[in-house]
Amino acid sequence: MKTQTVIVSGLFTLCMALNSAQAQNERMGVATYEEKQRREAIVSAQMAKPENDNAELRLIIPEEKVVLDVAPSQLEKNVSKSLRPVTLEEEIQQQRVQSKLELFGYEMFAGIATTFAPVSDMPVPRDYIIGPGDTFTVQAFAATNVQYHLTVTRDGVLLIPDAGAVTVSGLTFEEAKLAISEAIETKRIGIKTLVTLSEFRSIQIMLVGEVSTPGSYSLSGFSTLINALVSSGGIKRTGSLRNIQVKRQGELITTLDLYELLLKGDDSANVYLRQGDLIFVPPVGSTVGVAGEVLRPAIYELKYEQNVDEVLALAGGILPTANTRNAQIERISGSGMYTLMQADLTAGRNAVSVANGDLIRVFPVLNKMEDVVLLSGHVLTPGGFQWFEGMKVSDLIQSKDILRQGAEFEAAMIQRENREDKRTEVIYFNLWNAISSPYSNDNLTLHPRDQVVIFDTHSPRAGQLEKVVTKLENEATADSPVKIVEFKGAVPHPGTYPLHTGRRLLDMVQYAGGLEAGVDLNYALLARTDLISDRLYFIKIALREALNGNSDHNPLLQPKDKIYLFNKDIDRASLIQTPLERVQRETQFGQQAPVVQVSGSVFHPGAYPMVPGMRVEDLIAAAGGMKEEAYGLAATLSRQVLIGSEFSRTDSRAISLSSADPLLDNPKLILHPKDHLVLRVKPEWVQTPKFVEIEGEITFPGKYRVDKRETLCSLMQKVGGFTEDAYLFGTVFLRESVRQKEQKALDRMFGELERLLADSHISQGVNKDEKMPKDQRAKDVFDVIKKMSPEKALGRMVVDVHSAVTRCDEASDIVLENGDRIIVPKYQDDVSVIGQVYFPTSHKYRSDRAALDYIGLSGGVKELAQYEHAYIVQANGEVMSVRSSTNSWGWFNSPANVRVTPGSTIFVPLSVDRINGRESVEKWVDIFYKNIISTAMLANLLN
Amino acid sequence: MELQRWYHVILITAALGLSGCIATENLVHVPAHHGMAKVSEYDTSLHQRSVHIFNPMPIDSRVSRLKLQPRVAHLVFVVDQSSALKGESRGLDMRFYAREVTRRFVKTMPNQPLSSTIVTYRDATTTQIYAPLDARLSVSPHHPDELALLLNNGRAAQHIEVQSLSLALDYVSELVGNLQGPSAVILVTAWSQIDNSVEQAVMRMRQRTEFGSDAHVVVPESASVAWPQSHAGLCFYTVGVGNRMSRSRLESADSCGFSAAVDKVAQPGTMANFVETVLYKGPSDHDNDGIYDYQDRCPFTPSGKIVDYSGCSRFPASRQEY
Repeated sequence: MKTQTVIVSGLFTLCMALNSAQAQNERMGVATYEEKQRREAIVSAQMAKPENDNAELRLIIPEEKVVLDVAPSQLEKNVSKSLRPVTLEEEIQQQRVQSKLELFGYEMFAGIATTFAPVSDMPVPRDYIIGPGDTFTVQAFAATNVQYHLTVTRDGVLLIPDAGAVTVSGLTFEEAKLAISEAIETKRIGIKTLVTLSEFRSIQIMLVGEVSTPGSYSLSGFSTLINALVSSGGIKRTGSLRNIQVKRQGELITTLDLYELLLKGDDSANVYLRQGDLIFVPPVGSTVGVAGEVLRPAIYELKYEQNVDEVLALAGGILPTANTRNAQIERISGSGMYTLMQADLTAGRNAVSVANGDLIRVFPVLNKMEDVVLLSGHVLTPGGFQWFEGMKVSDLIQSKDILRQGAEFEAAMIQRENREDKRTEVIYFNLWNAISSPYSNDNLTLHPRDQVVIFDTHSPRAGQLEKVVTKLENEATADSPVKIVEFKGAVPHPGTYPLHTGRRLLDMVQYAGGLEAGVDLNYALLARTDLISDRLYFIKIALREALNGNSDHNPLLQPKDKIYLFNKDIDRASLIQTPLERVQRETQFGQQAPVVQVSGSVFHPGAYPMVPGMRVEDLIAAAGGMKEEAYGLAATLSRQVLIGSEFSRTDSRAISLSSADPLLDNPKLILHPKDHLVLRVKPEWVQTPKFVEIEGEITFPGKYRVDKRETLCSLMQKVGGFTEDAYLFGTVFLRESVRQKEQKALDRMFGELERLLADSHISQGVNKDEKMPKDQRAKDVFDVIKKMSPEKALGRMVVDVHSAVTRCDEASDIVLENGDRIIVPKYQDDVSVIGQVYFPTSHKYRSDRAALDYIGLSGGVKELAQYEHAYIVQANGEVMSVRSSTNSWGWFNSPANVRVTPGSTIFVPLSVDRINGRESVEKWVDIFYKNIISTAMLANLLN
Repeated sequence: MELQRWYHVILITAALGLSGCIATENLVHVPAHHGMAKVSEYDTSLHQRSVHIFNPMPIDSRVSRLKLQPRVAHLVFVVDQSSALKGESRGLDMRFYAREVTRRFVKTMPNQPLSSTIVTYRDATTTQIYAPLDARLSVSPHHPDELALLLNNGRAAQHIEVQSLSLALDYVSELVGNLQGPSAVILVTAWSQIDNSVEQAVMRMRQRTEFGSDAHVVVPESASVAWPQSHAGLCFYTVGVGNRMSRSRLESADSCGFSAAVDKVAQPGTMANFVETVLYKGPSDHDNDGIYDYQDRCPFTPSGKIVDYSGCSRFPASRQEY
């Protein structure tokens, strides 16, 4: 932080500073808390330093000191408060009369560096009075060549070597120069001298009163009064600019009027200061504020000025735009209240005297904007234009060149101030007609102060209209409702629009951007507020009728109307939800909420307002019509009937939509409130077609669309049958629903497994003598299972394709589902052996070999294998265990030699017993094995 | 929790059943029980008593005030008096209750002649060799009082005694199939009587009235008569005696008619609603503005006008414009 160091001497100064700061606080009774704090901080900063040096005090004055004085003074606050609008008329003037007045002249102290460095490089003024401390440079030349630096002693003499003492104090510089030269030249013959003043003495002055930083200052010897004021930070806003006094030894030397300097450039009172001078700034005297159409609106301090004329002269005189006949003086009367006085500023009549605290308002001429029309919006040259009698829109917009690209031609707006009832009114017109055919009705005659707003086609109009809408809202009273209408839904520019009185629905739609393509011509809603009861009701509008000239469907709009237009995309239910809820809320006992509902196969199911005379067909139209899949013969209407007027009961009745049954109610049925219509879907409607994919050894493989009851057999006829290489037994049949079921089972198994593991941590093992730590065991098992578990289920169904496609009967045929996938592989004549065998490989299928033979061919089982748990995955997906096989004739529990089919896989699992003897775990592992191998098989096949 | 739920069910049920009564006696005796509650335990005494009292709410005034439009031209009651209705329901003999609900219907009907009849059915104890003559069944204009007289005992003037209800309905089909103009058939029977064969018989009855004379009809061997087609239309209603929670298999979402438990229609208010639904379409609207005539203060609104709830134009030409 940059700080300025001020050297102030003497303890007295400190006391002064302190006192004045306190005094200041007391005076500024209304000062804000922040200001107080700031002041206290400065005072404490001044207090904190003194022990550093006894003789000299270094005050650190932060730069914020300047800010302190910028805050508006109490006087300014008062004036600006009284500048608040008094009458309606003044309110209009308000924007033209500057609202914030400042005290005049104080800004000259703002922003000036508060440096005290003596000004040493300027020529010495001739009338400078020499005093003790001034240093002369005396050069003697010709016979000798010496140079002396001589300082005036405290007695006021200059001791010159070889020449003696010369009394210079009290002489002017010019006189001193002469005296010194004389003294030397007379004492030492033949010597010429040159005398200059090399250093000035410093003088001590005292600055007191309403200054920023009162105190004692050391200044360079020829500082002037203004120098001292400016460099010490200036005068506070509470100090007088017109009565600055300089006192020397108790006598008033001069009085400075800064206004003379500022306004006339007269600095005659700006004296040089001398040692011990005291500058006193008294508090500000009487002030008068001048606001409005004057050259310098400000608050002026009065000295000699007595009347308005003189005060206005201070403010630089009135502007040409001022209304000289009508100025006001706001004065604090003797009774302590504000009064207003009219003043005539016309030359010679302005001798009205002023008093302290007056505020003179000079208004601009009233009829300044009278003959003007304003053009705004999407134009190249917005702004005011001169109005003349008979001016028309085409006079204002003479050619299309002043319109910007994309200007809206169908609608433009005039905002007019009605002179009779003082209300804002809005008129829309067709801009194209107005410009192109001058005699059309759209080429409106403009009134003075009209505001012509040009829209553009693409941006929302709400922003442009917001101001006038707010204005209309403010002007609304109980008997003249706010003249706005609102457009919602399928219009290019939805939003709130000022209502052009006497315009019909379609006209206003035009102003909101016109009818959009795809707007529902059969159903639109007009939500109207009854202006007397303030109840909301709905009117159904068929725009088609309106366009055909049926005036009922193109009604005159009322204030507060809301228009809802729909198209096929808009969510109608949510758009009209708010007004519908309001209608329902307002329904009282004895009435029924006029809301009807429709659900089922319509485009926009939901609740709709019931309008008088509404029929079933109207409700269907309101919901956007029936969908393709809707059942066109009959619908169901649920109606709440009241029995004995208090007991409600729901009846449902069939509606014959095709009117085939004369006994049933038809779509012409008149709806009652709370009716609910349900439209059904055509029976067996196919919303999403079913597809089946068939690939592999098929004549025409591909994706086929199938009927609801299509079977594998009938599909086979369509796809041209199998190729010669097809291996029907190995057909893979994947079904989505099966896959999901499997996946669920798989997930459940995992979940149970984890629970099982958690249990194993807390329960004893089956074999209590096992030494292995339990946790370790459980972890091992889990790792193994995790490694083996398939990521996701496949959904393979084991089907007997052969009999399905050959017999085609109910017993063996398969009904296809959506997403079925049939893969018919080539004939495979190999048998794979994988798992815990020494040499996992494939072998050629031979009908005389069985499962154990193939295992033997692969080198036999490893030590860790579980021989008797070996599985065979047959080509058709069936999984068999050698143990579970029934045709076992060998030893009890010994594996049987199961027959295998070509293309099958034999899997010899790892012995889980070796890891953990727990049977329950084994059970799970068992299931997993089956899953894995079938998955592994398929993965091979599908790739 | 469970108890509370049942309690609500009962309250609602009671309210529906009682809805016709003006009485507001709602005291419910909640017996102590263990385990599941039974619905019948919560019957109010009021409800039970009200079966025995019927204060008809004739709909004459409503018909004339609302200018209700007739729905059907003929009305045929088929009152089952067979052995299937043996036993008691709500303290009444079920056969009597079946007749009683018919009587209540008749008492509620407007007092004007209507082409109607009441047919009673009783199951034949011996096998009928000859079918009854179809000429026996006929409709003729009756005042409600005359209709009521037909039902003094379990055997109305028009009585069918055959092996099964379905066969009886076939004879009714003969009747309504020959009539000009739409007819309503109200079958009052026990829920248990409505089996597959009855369903089939009702379907046949519907078809006979639905299709024109060009339709090809496969005549079952049991029927010895021709099957003329009327193309007149039929509304078939079933009133089931017994459990009031039951619904019938004869419900159809897209043909005229429905089924109702006898308790749901036996009260004066509900019966009035039932009669009105069976006999009348709705209030008339002559100027076709969507506002019923009885509410229409401007009965001659030209078409295409938007109207308000009083049936007058929303935007009359003479109205002062804003």
